[in-house]
Parts: sequence; C-alpha cells; structure tokens
Amino acid sequence: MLTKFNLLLTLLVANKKEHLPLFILSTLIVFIVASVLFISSSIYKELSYTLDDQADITIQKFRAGHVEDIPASYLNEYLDINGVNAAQGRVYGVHFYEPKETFFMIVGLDFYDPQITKKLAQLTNKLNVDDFLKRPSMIIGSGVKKFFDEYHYFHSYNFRPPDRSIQKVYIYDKLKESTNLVANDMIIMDINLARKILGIKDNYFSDIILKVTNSNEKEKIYEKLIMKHFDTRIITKEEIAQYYKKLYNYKGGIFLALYLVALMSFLTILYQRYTLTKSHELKEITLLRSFGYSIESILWLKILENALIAFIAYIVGVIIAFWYVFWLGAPLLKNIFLGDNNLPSPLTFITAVDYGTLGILFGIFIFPYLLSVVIPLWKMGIEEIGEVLR
Amino acid sequence: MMIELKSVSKQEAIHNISIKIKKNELIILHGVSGSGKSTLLHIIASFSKPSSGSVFISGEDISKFTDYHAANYRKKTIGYITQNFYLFETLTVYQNLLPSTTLTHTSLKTQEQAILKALKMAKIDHKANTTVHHLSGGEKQRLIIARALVNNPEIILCDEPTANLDAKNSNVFLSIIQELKALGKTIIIATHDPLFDNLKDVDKKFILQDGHLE
Repeated sequence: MLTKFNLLLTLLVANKKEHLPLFILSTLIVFIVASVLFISSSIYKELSYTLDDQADITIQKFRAGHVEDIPASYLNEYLDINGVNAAQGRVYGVHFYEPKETFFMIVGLDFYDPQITKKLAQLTNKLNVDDFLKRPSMIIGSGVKKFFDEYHYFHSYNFRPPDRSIQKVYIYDKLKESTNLVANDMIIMDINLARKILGIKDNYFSDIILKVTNSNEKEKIYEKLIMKHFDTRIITKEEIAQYYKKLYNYKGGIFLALYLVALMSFLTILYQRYTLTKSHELKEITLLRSFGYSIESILWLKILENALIAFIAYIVGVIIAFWYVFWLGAPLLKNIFLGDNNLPSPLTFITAVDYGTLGILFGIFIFPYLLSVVIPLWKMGIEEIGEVLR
Repeated sequence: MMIELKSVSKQEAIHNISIKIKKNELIILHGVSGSGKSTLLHIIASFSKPSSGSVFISGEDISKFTDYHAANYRKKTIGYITQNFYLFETLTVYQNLLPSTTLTHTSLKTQEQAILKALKMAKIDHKANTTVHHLSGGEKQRLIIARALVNNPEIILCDEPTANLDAKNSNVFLSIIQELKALGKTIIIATHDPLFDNLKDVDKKFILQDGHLE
C-alpha cells in the first residue's frame, strides 16, 4: 500500500507540468461555480428568514388604483374578526435624498411596543428606548450611513416634510450589516416622527398587518376583510412568498447562465484534453506496461492520480469560494444580486452551504474529468507495446 | 528457463522462425536494421503477439496469454534494455526504478534495497539522487540496465544496447553483461554492432536477414 502511494506521488511529480494547467483551470471553474452556489444559498436563506418575519396578512387602502393611507379605525374593526390574533398599523414611505438623487426607505415604529423594541435591539448595536425618544432620532441602514458620511451628516440630518418645514433628526445607531439585503437603504424612527416627515396624518397608517395563527381560517378571514371594506387590497404571506420566489428565480437565471458558462469552459478543456494525443502519456503507459503493469492496473493508477488532482482542485476551489463569498463579501459577483437595490450595499452574506448542490457539483466535475483521462488512456493502452517502443 | 519459438511469424517483419534457447545462454541476434531483430525480442518479451506460431517459455505458450497474464509474465521474467532512452526525465535515477519495484515489493524498505542493489550492479549508484535530464548518454543507458535488473528477472533482452554509446561506455556495458551471465541469467542481445563479434561467453549467434533466420 505504501509503495503504491509512493509511486502515485512520484508519478504526480513526474507529470506536474501536464497536470498544473488543468489543475489551475479546474480550480478556477470550481471556484466560480461554488461562489455562485454559496451566494445563491445565502440569499435564499436570507429571503426565507425575511419571509418568516412577514405578517400573515397585509392590508392596503386603495382609491382609483392608488394606494393611500389607511385610517387607524380599521384596525379595531379587523381585531373584531374571529381568527385575527393581532393587528398592527405600519408607517413607511420613501424619502428622496437629493445629493445622491436616490431614495431611502423611512419606517416608523411604535417604540412603546416592547415586542418591537426587543426585536430591533437584536438588529442594532445599542438600543435604549428612553435615550432614543429623548430627541428626534433614527437608526439607519449601512447604505444610508455611507451616503450621510459622504456628505458629512455624521450626527444628524435635516428632513424636509411636505409642509416645507425642516425636521432635524439625530443619528442614533446603524443597523447590523447582516440586515443589508433588506435594510441597506432603511431609516427607522418613531412612528409619529415618520408620519410628520412622510406627511401622513395622525391616526392613519401606510398599511395594516394582521396575525392569523390558524392558516386554515385564512380564506374565511380574507372574505370577511373584503366584506368590511371594499376599498382595500389584501396581500397574504403566500403572495409575498411568490414575489420573493419570482425575484429569486430571476436571479437564479443569471446564476444558471454563469453555471453554464463555467461548465462549458470546463467541458471544452476536457474535450481538448481528450482529443490531445500526448506522445508523453503514450510513452509513459507503454513503459509501465513493459515493466509488467496490466492495462487495468495502469487505468486504476491513472484514475487515482487524476482523481487526486481533481479532488484537490475541487476542495481548493470550494475553500477559496467560501472565503471569497463569506469573508470578502463576493466583490463583483454580488452586484448581480443587488441590481434592483436602491443603494450599493456592503452586503455580508450569511453563511449558508447547500451540501446537496455541492455534492452534485462534485459529481458533475469529477466524472467528466476522469472520463477525459480514462478514455484516451484506454485507447493508448490497447496499442501494442512493441509498436510504441520502436 | 527454456525459450522455444516454433514457426513464429509476424506480418512482414519475421517469417517462420524456430529457435531454442537454454537457461543461462548468451545469445547474439545479428542483423542489419529492419531485419526483424526487435520484432523477435518484442515477441519473446510478450510486447507483441506473433501472427502465427507459438512462443514457449518453460513450456508455457505466452502467445496465448491475456493482457493480465502477459503483464504478470513480464513483471516476473523479463528485463528489457531498450536502444532509446525511455526514462522519466523529470525524476531522479532512484525514482525511475520505483514503478518497476512497486509491482514486486510491498514494503518501502525491501523496495529500497532492491533499487540500490540494481543501481550498484549497473554502476550508477553514485547518481541515485540525480535527475535523469542531468545524466550523460552512458549513464542513462546504465540506468536502463538497472531498471531491467531491479526485479531480478531470468531473461534479459537487449535491443541495440550500444547504438547510442561511445566505445568506453560500450565496454562498460559488455562487462555488465558478463556479470549477468555469471549470475545465471539468460541473455539475448539484438545488435548489428561488430563489438559483440568477439564477445566471450557467447553461446549462440543467430543471423537475421529480411525476417528469415540464416
């Protein structure tokens, strides 16, 4: 066993010039495909988390095809419906940031609701509600922070509400980078302050969200909600899931194109290797046969030699991809995912590894690799030793 | 180990050759280039199969062997010295003998002993750690001899062994051949080099012309 392993390493050294270009190319291709795979898994995981946090039902008020603010009185009416466990009004809207001609998302939250503050505390580095509410304050996403810093709004920013007044709001904290996929362009503030800046009247919300614990009752509740107010649009969690799925599939198409390009390059390299009759390899195989190796044992030796290279190339490619995506944040590639995002995002991908797909990648990679080695070797192996040694 | 060829032919290369070679004989196959010497050696080494006829080694017809059995026969019985320097150029002298010995040794220690013994016999042990592409022509030829001897085969086949050697290295080769003969090996040398005309200890000399034995 030891002598065979020793021989395997010796042959690897002897053929290093032949193996090196293919090893580098294979590592590169595995790296690209694995990077796309990691990003894809990470985004899918993050979107699933986001979806988990979505309300069961979201209600918007419509007039003449336009969304308009919904009265707070609706809230109590909805709470009267059997099966609705909780109802909450939300205040949000976009703020146009002139220096960069871009939009920020303002979200107003009820900071007296302990459930909200508890959840928010997990997304920030510090949160003391009393301190926060002492003066007009906001918690901002990473993208917003970056633009504010660029224009020297280090401590506060002056908003211009629709009534043309000036509303100074102090920067309290920044959201953690792990929230960047959904909250990069987000500004969180007290609900009443948000109303003022967005021009939403008191006792009005942007929309209302409902919690329904029994999913079997959703359909009935849906009907009751429509009956209550015909001027509302009801969006269920499933519809939001569909939206995310479509968004993800659209991104998935881009990944697929990347996969195909990478795999095509790989197969082209293999085909070239397959068609290239190397006199060097023919000489080596003939020599081994003349020493007393059977064709079968040479094939096994060559399979092991190349499998070792392919395996190392695969492992190295995957490790570099892991480092590139989860440590470096996938520069260049991440822009594909954030194309429709308002602000360029310093996104941190949450670690998510889809082992099944990695396994499939291993299979797709290693079998053509070995076949491209074995078939030409087998063809060489059936030649008479005497003919080659002349 | 008795070698017996019965009416062996190989396409246009050799025709109806029948010879008998006894154990420990030193045989010279003489003939000009293209006379069929190499083809005959290849058939004895089981590198090629004859088109017709049989090749008996110790009573077994090797021309009927499958690839597996032919490989096994080559491993145990044949040491082949080529006229061209078929070597692993990027490996050291020592490493060049690893592929042959891996077949016959399971421990690294006995493998090392066998390699060092063969290198010493071929007078190339002082270059054990030198890479092949740094060797001279004579040293490469001695490495090929060491490789042929490393598994202690009973039959040594030499195909134009002095074709690429100068007079000094050719004489070194002759002295090695005499040592091998003394060790009881059966040796067949295919050559057209007149150097072998006066070689001592030659038991038989066959002359091949256009694939026929004269």
